[in-house]
Amino acid sequence: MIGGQAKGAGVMHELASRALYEEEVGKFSSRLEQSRGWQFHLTEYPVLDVSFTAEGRTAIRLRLNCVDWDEKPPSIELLNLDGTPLTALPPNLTAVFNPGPHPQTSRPFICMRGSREYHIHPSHLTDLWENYRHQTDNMLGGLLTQLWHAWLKGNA
Amino acid sequence: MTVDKHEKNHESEQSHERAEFIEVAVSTTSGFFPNEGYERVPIHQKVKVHLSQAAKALGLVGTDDWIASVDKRPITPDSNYEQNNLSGVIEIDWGPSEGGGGNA
Repeated sequence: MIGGQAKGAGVMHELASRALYEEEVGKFSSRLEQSRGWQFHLTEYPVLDVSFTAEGRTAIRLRLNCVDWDEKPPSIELLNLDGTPLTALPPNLTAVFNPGPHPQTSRPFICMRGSREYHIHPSHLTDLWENYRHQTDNMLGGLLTQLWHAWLKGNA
Repeated sequence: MTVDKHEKNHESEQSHERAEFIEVAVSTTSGFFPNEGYERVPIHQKVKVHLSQAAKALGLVGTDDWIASVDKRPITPDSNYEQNNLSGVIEIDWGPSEGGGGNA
């Protein structure tokens, strides 16, 4: 039965995606939060919700939707600290934080390899996630670190 | 030797010993090295020695392009702690640099 098989395969995929998510996110500790000025608001599959903070800088909050991880990269929402969607970016961020509007979301977005919004953007359709997904740098912790470094590099 | 002189010598030795070593932990999203607390290493040891040990302990691969920083300041793994103006107790943040893209 084709329909039944497809449904079964889908369930298995979600379990595998959840297991991988939990393996990676399970390594994030309170010591890491303290060390880097990160604050995890939610770490429950498929959502990874985190703020970056540092003295004298405008904090930023990111919500990664990791459905289908790591067959697909996370979709990354830019948020205000209260969790509402950002409609305009804080000033002086690097080009990774793109003011948009993204053609599919009509909002600012993360323009970086490893962001779903990057790979589905018309300018990057040939830059396939598949070429990056198995690299250590592009595990969830690696992606967060890249985004953190991009945020630190800006002078906001 | 008077007690004062003895105490001063003892303090001087302790100070000298402190100056020769540094307490280090490496912070990554795969965990910390050491897992708890800090490791005491010679201040003239290259930073990359400890990073290499951290990579092995945490099972990290593909770290050649990673950047190391202390208190948000990038440091040079090929130099030692003193040359990087580091002393006391430090945590080295270690991970991939700003990602590619950004030209949509």
